[in-house]
Order: sequence, then C-alpha cells, then structure tokens
Amino acid sequence: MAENEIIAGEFRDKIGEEWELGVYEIEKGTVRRFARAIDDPNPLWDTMAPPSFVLTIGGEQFGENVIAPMFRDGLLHSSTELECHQPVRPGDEITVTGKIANIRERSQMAFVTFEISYTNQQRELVARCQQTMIGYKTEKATNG
Amino acid sequence: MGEQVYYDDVMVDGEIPPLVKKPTTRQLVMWAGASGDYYAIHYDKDFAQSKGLPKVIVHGQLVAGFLGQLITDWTGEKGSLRKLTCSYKGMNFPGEVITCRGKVSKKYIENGERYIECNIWAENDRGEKTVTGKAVITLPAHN
Repeated sequence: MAENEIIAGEFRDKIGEEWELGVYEIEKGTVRRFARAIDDPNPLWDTMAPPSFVLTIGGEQFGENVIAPMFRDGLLHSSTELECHQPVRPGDEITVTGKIANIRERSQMAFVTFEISYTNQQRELVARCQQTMIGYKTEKATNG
Repeated sequence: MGEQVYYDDVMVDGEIPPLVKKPTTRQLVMWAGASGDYYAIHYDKDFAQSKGLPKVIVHGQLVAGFLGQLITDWTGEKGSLRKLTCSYKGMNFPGEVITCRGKVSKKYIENGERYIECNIWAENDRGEKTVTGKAVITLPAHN
C-alpha cells in the first residue's frame, strides 16, 4: 500500500502541530536577486522586499523537510493566500512557523493546506499565508 | 510605475494597467534559485513528463509574483498591498506570453484606512485565465 500513497502516512498524524521552520536573516542581495528573478525593476525593492518575497523565506528548507517527504507522487500548487502586515526589509530576522491546517483526500488526489506565519526580530507578525498543494497519482494526471 | 494613484481617483470597475510577461526557462531557473523552489517539473522536461505533465511548467508562485508586481506598479510608493490570493487553475509554459490584469471590485474606508479590492488574474495568449485571485490594497488620500 505504501508505494501507492499520495501523502506519506506519518504526516496525517501531524495536522495542527506547529513547527518552527527556522530563523532567516534577510540579506539585501537576496532581495535584489528575487526582484530580478521576477524582472521587477521597481526602485522600492532597494530598501524593502516585493510582497511575494516573504512566501519564499525558508522555502527551500520547507521543500526539503516537509514537501519532499510528504508528497509521494505528483505535486502541484493549488492556491496561495497571503496577508501582509508589514514589509520585509533587508536586515530583518524572520522566524517562520508552520503547520498542516488540513488534508482533504479524494480518490486520486489529496489537497493539503499549510498555514505559515512570519514574525520579525521584534516578534511582530510580518505576514501569514495559507498554501494549498495538490498531491496526485501520476498515472491519472492529464492536466490542470 | 507612473504617478502616485490616490483613493479618490479609483473607480469601481476601473482596470489596472496590465503587465505583460514572457517567462523563459532561464527566468524559471533564476526564480528557482531566488526562491529555493527546486522542484524539477520547472526545469527538467523528462521529470515533468514522468509526472504526467506535457512539458516544463512555470512556477505558480512566479505568476503570483507577477500579480504582486501588477499591483505594486500601480499602487506606487504610498500604496500598500495587504492581501494577495492566487488560485492556480491552469498551467503556464515558458516561452508563452502571460498578461496580468486586474479590475477594481470595491472601495471602502475602514478604521481610517482607504481600501481597494481588485479581482486579478493572469491569462495566456489564448485568453485562458491560468491564475485568478484577489488583491486588497490601501491607498493614500489626496494631500
């Protein structure tokens, strides 16, 4: 059964459990590289990060430690809901905390919603997001 | 980025100036590096096909970044993006044009702040909406 599962079983027991996903110092060059990757030349990004940047803080670690072991087969992004409370600026130290809010399984698909919050060095909430991912069985995938 | 837009000048049903993008595979690799999202469906064709996809696809969150830019280009230095939601409904492929658009759905003042809500979306050159969402922003008053 294990090789057929869409979501690794051990994650089903972790709904609602909070993890600290690390503390990240935001470097000017990282922000600049991100703005360049979107091809967004707005001079505002010399002193603050574009709003979508916050979604990537700790993203690599989240991908490696949560997404990769959790999704056993196909994986697509379903939705993002971002709430911005204040801009992220170079020099900030952002703590990322996340949890699985829910898992909804259908026959060949699973929708997993994560809630992630980002706080700064003053312990102020900077942003919160909900990310929903879709796990799917490869042989059933067509598109969309 | 044009002149500063003010709350009083925004009309419900008014359109946001569109933003046209054409991400290449190079841009996907740049965004992968900048975001830390190294999932191989975004740069390895064989891997993408092994996952049932026709070819390499654009990261949904890169399109979310384009939609963020649509808003921040419009709202200027004194505007502020408060909420951004994106639903990834269809796939975008590198080399194709993505046009980001938005339309004002609502404006209101709450706790002294001037809010604008917009429906936003990204469409491909066949006019299909591949990403749809909403943005909530605050804008300054005149003076």
